[in-house]
Formats: sequence, structure tokens, C-alpha cells
Amino acid sequence: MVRGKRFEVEHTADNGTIPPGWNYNPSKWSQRIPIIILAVVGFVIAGYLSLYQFELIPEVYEPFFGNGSVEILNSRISEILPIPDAALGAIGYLVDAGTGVVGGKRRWQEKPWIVIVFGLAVGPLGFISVLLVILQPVLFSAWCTLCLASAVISILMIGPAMDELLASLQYLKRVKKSNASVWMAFWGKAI
Amino acid sequence: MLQYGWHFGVKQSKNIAAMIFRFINIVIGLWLMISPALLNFGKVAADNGYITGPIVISFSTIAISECTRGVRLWNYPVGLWLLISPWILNYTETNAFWHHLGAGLVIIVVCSIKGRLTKNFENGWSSLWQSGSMESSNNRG
Repeated sequence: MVRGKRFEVEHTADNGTIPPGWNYNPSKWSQRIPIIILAVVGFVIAGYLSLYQFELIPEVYEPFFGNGSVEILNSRISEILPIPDAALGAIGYLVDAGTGVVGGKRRWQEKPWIVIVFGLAVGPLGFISVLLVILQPVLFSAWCTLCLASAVISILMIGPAMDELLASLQYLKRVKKSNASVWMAFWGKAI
Repeated sequence: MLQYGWHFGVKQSKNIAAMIFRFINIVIGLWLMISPALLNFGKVAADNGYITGPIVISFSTIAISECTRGVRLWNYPVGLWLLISPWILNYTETNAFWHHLGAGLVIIVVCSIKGRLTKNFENGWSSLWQSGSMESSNNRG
């Protein structure tokens, strides 16, 4: 059952791939692949750190700060949650990469749900990373090189990912304005 | 062709200029993080740098993208805090006092500069809460 009327396919520039009022397509692969690559690199780094936290490897690579990584990765902050914080970061990066890959070059319109999950996964992960970077020197007077690298990656991903989120949210607003079902449009069933 | 090339060049140079301003604040943020160790700041001033530095770097990095250029303004309160915090936190080191005062001033000035936008976003994020603002194609990052 479709509530309200159906939202017609928007006839926009470049065969419907560019959102109305925009001059580029935020869902095209050249926009998404750099973010996916960053997410994969972040997953490798966080995955490596979580192997140390799960005690599957005895040492962790630390080129600059002596015993810093060991202190940070064994700190009480890293044990607040049921699973180590690096493992949580690895899961976050995996979600980023996975939601970055799903869908074609019109997914801002065809799969708003995946774009919104992508945006929500990228944003908070970055802010949590910044919080952890702040806590390293303030609470433990130590730094962890790979944790900093992971934080840089998560921050680099935010800006480029947000344009696609904006395009999907604008699309849902247009759907709402036309009195069609936003719920159906959210799941990509309104076109 | 020549005209296109000239326009492209001007556009690119303005983009690079906008990016340089974001990088200036990223460098200031990095300096806030490393200066306590290099210049032997006390605990209070050092922690202030350790907290504000990553925040400035994050906001400036996010603001490099045209779609999120507005995030550069989130550095205003951080810059303002650096201007007043030496008095509020009662810094004892002159070094830290002047460094944070200078950093705050530069952050505020630099984050005020938006830079040219070359992409259109259908009125940007404000279109989501403004009624009837999604028909024109002005770009507001």
C-alpha cells in the first residue's frame, strides 16, 4: 500500500543523475571512491589496533611516541564499552565502506536510506575520533600514532560525504512538499 | 578556448586560495597540539591546546569541502575562547599566554574568509529548513 500519491521521477540534468539546482552529481563514483578508499585504510588501521587490544598480536607499531600506543590502547577509556574502542572503530569504517559501495550513481534519489546511513556513519565516527585524540594527552599524557592516523582519516571523510547526504535530504523534502509518501521515497520505492 | 582556459585558471586559483585559508587554521591547530611539548607549557595551558587544537583541525578540514564550507564558522567560538582563556584559566607562562592569544586571533580572522564556491547545492543546508527555498540554484556551502 502506498500512502499518498507517488513522486514522479525528477527530470534533472545529465540524464537524471544531477540533483535539481546542482551542477554535479554527488553520487557518481569519482565522488565516492576516494571516501571508500579512506574507509578501507581506516578499517585496516583500526583492525590492526583491535588485534592488539584482543591480545591476538603481542606488540603494536609505534614509530614516534615510545610507549604511547601501549598506554592508550590499554587505557580505561578503551575498556569502557563491551568491545575495545579500536574494534568499534573498525566496525564503523566497515559500515562506511559498505554503505559507500551500495547503489548506483543515482542513489541520492533511488536509495536515500543508504545515503543517510552512510552520512550518519561517517559523521559521528569522525567526532568520536576527535574526542579520543583530545583524551590521549589530557588524561594519559601520551599519544598513539596509529590512533591519530585513524582520526585524521575519519575527519577527512566527513566533508566529501556530506554533499550526497544533502542531496538525499533535499530530495526527501521535495517529496514531502509534493504530498507524496516520504517513507516510500526514503526506501527508494517512490520512483 | 583561451577564454575557457583563463576562466578555468581563475576558478582553480580561487579554489586554491580558499583551501589555503583552511590549511592555515589546520597548521594553527597542529601548533596548538605540539607547542606545549616544544615550549614547556604548564598543565592548564597545555590541556587547553590539546583540546582546542584537534577541534580547530577538524572544523577546518571539514570546511575544505564546498558543501560543508559553513563549518569553518564553528571555529569562531574556539578562537574566541583562545582569546579570553589566558585570563580565565590564569596562565602563568607568558609564552602560552601570547601563543594562545595570537592563535585565537588568526583562527577568527581566517575562518571569516569563505572563499569562492564553484559548486551549486540548491541553497545548501539552509534549504532543508527554509520553506520555498529549493527552486533557485544559488550556492551556499
